[in-house]
Formats: sequence, structure tokens, C-alpha cells
Amino acid sequence: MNFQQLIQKLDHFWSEQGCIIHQPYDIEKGAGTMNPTTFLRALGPEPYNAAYIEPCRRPTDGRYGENPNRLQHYYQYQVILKPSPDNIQEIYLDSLRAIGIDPKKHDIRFVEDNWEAPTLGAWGLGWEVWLDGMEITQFTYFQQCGGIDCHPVSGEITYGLERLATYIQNVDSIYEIMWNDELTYGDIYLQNEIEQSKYNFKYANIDTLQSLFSLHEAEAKSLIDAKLVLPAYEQALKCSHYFNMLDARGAISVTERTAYIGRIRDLSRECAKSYLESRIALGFPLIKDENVRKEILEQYQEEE
Amino acid sequence: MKNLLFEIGLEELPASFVNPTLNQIREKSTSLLNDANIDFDKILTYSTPRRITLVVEGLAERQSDIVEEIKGPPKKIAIDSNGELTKAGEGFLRKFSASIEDVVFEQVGNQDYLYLHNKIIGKDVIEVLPSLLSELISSLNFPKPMKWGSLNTRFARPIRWIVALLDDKILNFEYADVKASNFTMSHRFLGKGKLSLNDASDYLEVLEDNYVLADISKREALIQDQITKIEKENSFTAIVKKHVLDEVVNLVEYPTAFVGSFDKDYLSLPDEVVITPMQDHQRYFPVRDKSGQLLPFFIGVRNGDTNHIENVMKGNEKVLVARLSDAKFFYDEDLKKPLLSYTEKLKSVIYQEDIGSYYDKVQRVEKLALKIYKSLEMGLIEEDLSVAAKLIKADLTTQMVFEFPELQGIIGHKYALAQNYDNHIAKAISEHYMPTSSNGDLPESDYGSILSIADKLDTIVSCLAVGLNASGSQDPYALRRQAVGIIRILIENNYRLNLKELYEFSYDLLSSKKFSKEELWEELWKFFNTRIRSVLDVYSYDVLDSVLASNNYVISDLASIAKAISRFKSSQNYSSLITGYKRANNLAEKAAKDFSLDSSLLKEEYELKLYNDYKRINSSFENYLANFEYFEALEIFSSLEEPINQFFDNVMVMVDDNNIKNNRLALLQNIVELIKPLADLSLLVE
Repeated sequence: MNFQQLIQKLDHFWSEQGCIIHQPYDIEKGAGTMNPTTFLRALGPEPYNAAYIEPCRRPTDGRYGENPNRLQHYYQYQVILKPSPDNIQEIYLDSLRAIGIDPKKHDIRFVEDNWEAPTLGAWGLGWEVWLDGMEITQFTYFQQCGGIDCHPVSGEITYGLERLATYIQNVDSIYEIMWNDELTYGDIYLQNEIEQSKYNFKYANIDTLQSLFSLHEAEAKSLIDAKLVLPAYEQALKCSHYFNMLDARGAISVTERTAYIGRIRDLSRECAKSYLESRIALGFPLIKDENVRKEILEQYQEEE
Repeated sequence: MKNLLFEIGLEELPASFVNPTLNQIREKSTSLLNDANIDFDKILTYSTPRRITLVVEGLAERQSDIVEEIKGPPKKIAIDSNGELTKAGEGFLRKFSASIEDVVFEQVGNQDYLYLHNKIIGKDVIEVLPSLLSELISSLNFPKPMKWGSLNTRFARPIRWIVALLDDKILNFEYADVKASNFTMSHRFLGKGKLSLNDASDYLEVLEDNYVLADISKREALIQDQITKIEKENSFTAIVKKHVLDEVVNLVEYPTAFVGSFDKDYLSLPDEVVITPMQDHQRYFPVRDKSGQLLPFFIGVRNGDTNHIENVMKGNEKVLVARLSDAKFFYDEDLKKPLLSYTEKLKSVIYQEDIGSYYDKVQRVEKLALKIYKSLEMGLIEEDLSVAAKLIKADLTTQMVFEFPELQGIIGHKYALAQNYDNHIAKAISEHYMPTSSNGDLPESDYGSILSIADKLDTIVSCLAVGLNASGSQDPYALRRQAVGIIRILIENNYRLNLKELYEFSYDLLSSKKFSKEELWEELWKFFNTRIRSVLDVYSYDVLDSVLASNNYVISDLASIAKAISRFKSSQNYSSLITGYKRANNLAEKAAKDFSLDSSLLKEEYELKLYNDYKRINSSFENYLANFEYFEALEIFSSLEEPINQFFDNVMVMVDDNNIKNNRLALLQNIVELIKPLADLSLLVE
């Protein structure tokens, strides 16, 4: 199974499970969780089931294309099920079967791993899923997002696609993964890894990054004031990306790090709060049962 | 007699939760059953990653009957002079639907009261158990509970099924939207899936047939056996750490051990770098040959049977090789630069916001270490101590420690050897972190010991100086553990270092401090006092009180003196010496400040005897002190026991003649003061 078939199979599987299949979000982010489809949709009472492939950037993980297992740009396959269904683990295991992994022929385990994203004011409990000792999936029940308790709780399933593909195709390096039957992952991304690593570690202009961070931060704040939460959140994502870039450049001391994280977290919290308010204002339109919708809406309005 | 089976089916429970949860279940079920007056023979618990189970054997069919006493009004209010019930009496009986025949009179205080003895017939346990089990399940606590789905219930992980069987009867109740039933589940991928239980006693057998070993000790024994078998077949020895085994036992329902291998080239890495990913990240057991040499194999444990185990083995090998190749990459990269250059990088690593960078810390530690070296006058090479001090924190900025933080110190040690530093310098780097727990191993070398003291004292003084204190359960900088470490090293090595002098030196090195030198010393000494008491807890509290009152800040001396006093306590004349000493001490407090002892004023026999004996022992006593022979010092001092007590029996101290009085007080004061540098004997219990 080549890389694009793997993605197609997952899309197909989760589509059959009733998920919206989203396309990637067009702003840099460190993880699929930061996509508003996860971070914002996890808030409030409206149900949402979605799956999507997400390109992720982690500038500090760049290795100039020399390390077979680490990339600064890679793909996650992200599934969000809200509320988390009772048989969520079984559905997940079925998805592995769908991509050709028969659990009876392997050792699949759910090993405790709790997730926390300080810049998002978010945390959850769950596992990393091991396939013969290799972590292939992060499985999380969201407990808080942007400092707000999640109710109902969303179940988040994040597949590490490159890891899965090296396993399925039995290759030792991510660069050897067949993307389709003609070209490898390396054919497509090796040059990108080399050049981006150089940029991240050596060429990125620290002063520029710092000003960009501040500019986007100011923009986010003014958009929050204007109650335009979706554009505001995009600006917060920009801040998070430039923070990661500054980190890769080694331009952030330990003290400054805490301060930067605090600034991004403040924006995330504001966005979360503002998003929930905006959904209340819209009357939680995704709750399709009219009686339930009215009842829940009243509860929220009372709390306000 | 009946058997109860109660199984909570879960999504995978964190391994570390298992034992605390089972303990809670045992304690709480015992007290719930006792409170409900239900007799039973035995409580058993089982657990796998997907279930926690309570079995109660020999359960009574019914609750025990109990007699409840209901107290009514006093007899003289309930029954009138004609022996008839009053309104109050009738009211009491009506309330409990009783008649006068049921009443018993009991005397309370000086009058009789009406009592009803209400016999409560115990209910069938099948009626009582459902609410009792609901209560049990909701009373369980977890360090980090979670919510799931649309429920408000919190538990360790989502609850997916509940089995509640009393012999063959289902106990009807619901928890977290799950209805109790007689259905359990097999191994996730093996066995028949959903399993129906006919009787509580079938539990273990049905599960075992379906690839679940619910008994933890059985799983552990099986894993041990499998490891032993593999060891024999391959003639190697597995490194089985208890915490790894405990975790592995609670990560599987049906264990099958297997052997994997990796390229022997990775063995050129330091052992710890090879062992850490295997043991701590992948939960494998590394293996050694007879000579203790690490081998390129590992033992893993699969959750399942032997079918397709070659896939599992190959997969695990691949994961390990990826980790080892990362480690190799870091090792080669790190060693391209001299170790000292990593110390330079510490300039941009903040130790603590108010205190400054790690680089500043390293510089202070070096100065403090050299100060200790000079105070100890030992045969070490000063230059080497200085070099080691500069390197102790260098590895914190290497890629290897960034990747494997638990290897701090060890990496510095190995890198120093790789870059041809002398062995004692390299060893001091890893040893300076020791002891890593309150009763952990101490550094073996003097270089390591000195650096450990210097680093820890700097941490404590610098943190206290900016107001970072340990309070209650909060001790984020582990100040308590580090103080205990210092105390243990000082005592173990008998380093005669004066803590106050070291503190003052350390204080002067700090750039930011919120307290004066004196204020901080008081706090520090108080902080150390508590830790000294805990390290020396083999000695009784009064011994420690008396020793700590001496204003002696040489901690190793305090330990020797405490030991001497404890030994001295069993001497024959101990308690009579202490009685006499306490009297002397009380009077000595009244001595005139400006009056010194004048031997020409001594007239009476027993004051002269006391004075002469005091003079006679004086210089030997001082000699013993100077030679740290504390028991001998106490012994010779105790020869004053007889003259002191004779003095009190025969000499009147508080006489009218002021000169004579003051002279006698001065004599007592001199004797009391003689031993004060050793300990305050007045604090000892006789």
C-alpha cells in the first residue's frame, strides 16, 4: 500500500463512519489538534465528527534530511469524534484492519500517555497506541480546551502517517516510503527538508520573527475585541508558528519561553471563550434535535 | 455461603494505577461489608489492563440481625403515679408502633428511662449488594480521573462493562450508563470476545480459556518463567528491574516473552545509552553475558500468544534500532565539540529566573568546592577538582541529555572519559548528583562528595535567598532531599566542615538575595535542624535536643557526639549525673555576670573537693574534645557526679554573704560551661 492509498483508505473508512472529511487547513501549525476543526469544535455542546489529513511543522525536529525518522514537516491523520462513542477503541481498531493491519498478527497496546498543550491551555487523558512497540497513534479524551472544561468529551485519534507507512511498506527510512507506485516520499520532500532545516536553524531572521510574532499578536487581540473569533484564532496560530521558529533558532531562553507560551495561551483562551459565545449567539445550530437544542441553549444562557 | 464476583471492565488502565486501586478496593469493600453487617470469609482482587475485579468468598446469605436500642422519655414523665401511660409515654410508643409490653427500663444517671429493643432482621444480601457495589465504585479515587462521552461520571478510564454476580444471580444496578450483567470480555484480539458467565466461581477459568490471566501474581510468575527459559536457551542473563517487571505485568493480559536482537555496533555506545531506550522507553529487558558485558539482544513481552510472533519481534527490533540510531547520531555529534564548550552554552540556560543562569551556578559551585577543599586539607589535586567543577553541568546542553534527560551526569561522565579526562574527574561528574534519593547511594570519591556538597548547598542557599522555600508537600527544587544528601555525605565521610562558614561563603557569592546574612542563616539552620534530626533518627529526641543546642555547626561532630551520649546513657552514674547537672545548671543561671571564681574564697570541704576535681579533669577533658573523643570526654566529666551531688548535700549555696554566694555560683557555672560546647546536658531525660 503506497502513501496516498493509505490516506485514501483512512478517508474512506472514516467517511463510512459518518465523519466529515475535511481538507488540510491552510495555516502552519505544530499538530492537527490546532486545526480549528479540533481545537474550537471540541468546545461547547454541539456534536461534530470529522477526519482530515494535516500537514504539521515542527521546526526544531529538522535534521537536514539526514535522520531517517525525523522531519520538520510531516503529516498527521486526525479524527475527532464528539461526543466520544462508547465503542471508540473498536472503531479505531477496525480502521487499522482497513489499512491492512490485522491485530492478531501483531502486538497492539494502549499505553498510558497523557496529552497537554500549554500554548492551547488544553489537556486530555489517553494512550499512545503501540504497534509491535512502535507508537503509531495518539489517542486522547479531551478534558479541557482553552482553559474551558469539555462537555461532552471529544475523542481524538491522531495517526502518525509516516511511521505507519514505514511499517506497512517495511522500509527503514521515511524517505524510502512509496508515495505512489512511481515516486518516493524522498523524491517529493527531501529537498524541502534540507532547505527548510537550513532556514529554520540558520537563515531565519530572528528580528523579523520577533516582529512577526508581535504583529500577529496585536492583530489577534484587536480581532478578539471585534468579536471575529475565527480570524483571531488564525492570528494566534501564526504566533504559535513564529514561536516555534524562534525556538528552532535558539533565540528563546528558558525564562522567555515561559513568557512566550503564556502570551499564546492567553490568545488561545480568549479565542476559546469568544468561540463558545459566538456559538451561543448562533443558538448551537449543529444540535439537530430542536427540543434538545433549546434546552441546552437555555442552560448556557442562564450560566452567562 | 455465597460468592460474589464484581468486575469493572475498562479501557486500558494506566499500569501505575493498578496496585493503589486494588488496595482501595480491598479496604473499602471490607469496611462497606462490615458496616452492612455482612459476614464473609475472604476478599480477593484481580486485575489486567482492561479490568479490576473484586471477589468475595464465603459471603453470608443475609445481613446479621441487629438489635437497635431506642431511648424514650424518663419513666417519671412517661408513666404517671397510677402506673398509667401519660400522653408523652403514649406518643413515644405510637411513634415506633410498640406497646407497653415491649418496653424495657434502664437507668441512666439517677433515673429510669423507657427503652425499646428493636430487632432488625437482616436482609438478603442480594437486596443489599447492588447499592453497596455502586457505593464502592463511586468511592474509588484516582490521581487523574477523567470524563468521557456525554457523561458526568469521572473514573480512571472509561467504564465499558460491569459484571456483578452473586453465585449465578445477576445483581441489578447501573453505573456510568453501564448495566451490570454476567458478560465479561476475552482478550482484545484472542478468545471469543463477549463471554457469558454462569457462576461467579467460573470467572478465572473462563477468562484463562480466553487468553486472560486475571491473577497478577500468576502473570508475573509466568513472565519470570519465560525469561528464565530464554536465559537458559541463550546462556545470557536478563537485567530485570522490579519497576520494569511490575509495569510489564500490568501492560498485558496474556504474556508471551520473545527475544529480539540489534546490530552489535550499537554496543560501542555507553551501556546506559543502550539500556535506557530498551528499558525505560520500550519496556524490554536488556541482557548481559556471564562477564557482565551487554549483549545485542533484548527480551520483550507481547500481549498475546506465540502466533505470528516473528512480526512482533521484527517490529520491535525496528523500533529499537531507530532509537539507537538516534542515540548514535547524538553521541557522534556531541563528541565533535569539547565538553567544556557545552559549559559555555549554559550561559543561555536559566537555572531560575531570580537566581540566574546555570553558568553562574557552575561558577559558584567551583568556588565553593575549592573552599571546601581548603577547609578539609585533603590530598586531592586542586586543579582536577576545579576542572571537574567546570564540567558537572556541561552535559545538560548536549543533544543526548536533551533526548534522554534521565541520563544527566552519566552522559557527562562518559563524554569526559571519551575526551580523555582522568577517571576521577569523569566520575565526579556523575557522582555530584548523588544521592538521588533520601536514602540513595552516596558518592564514592572525595571529588564527587565535595562537588555534591557544593552543588547542593548552592542550590539550597540560592533558593532560600530569593524566597523559594519548601513548604508542606511542595518542594519543587527538592531542597529537603538535597539537605539530607549534604548531611549524609558529611557524616559518612566524617568531613569536619563548619556549615555556618560554608553558608557565609556561599551567601557572599550570590548576586541576588532578599534576606540579610543573619536572617537567612537562622532559616537555613532551622531547615537543616529538621533534616539532621531525620538523618540521625536512631538517637532519641532528647539526645538530639542536647546536641543541637550546642551551637556546633560541624554536622559530622554532632553525629559523633549524639552517638557518644547515647552510649553514655547506659552508664551507671548517668541519671545521677544528670540530676546533679540540672541543679547546677539552674543555679548557674543566677551567677553574677562580673564575678569570676576566686579559689581563695573556697572554704568548706565539699566545695573544695568539687573545685579540685574540676581542676583535675579540666585539661584532660579539653584534650578529649580536641581529639574528638567524645565518649571519653563524657566519662571523665561524669567523674564529677559524686562531688557535685555531695556539694549539693553539704554546702549551702544561697548564703547571706554575697561574695561566698557568688563564688559558689561561679564554681557551678564553670562546671556547667565546661561541657556546653559538647552538648546541653540539661535537656537530657534522666
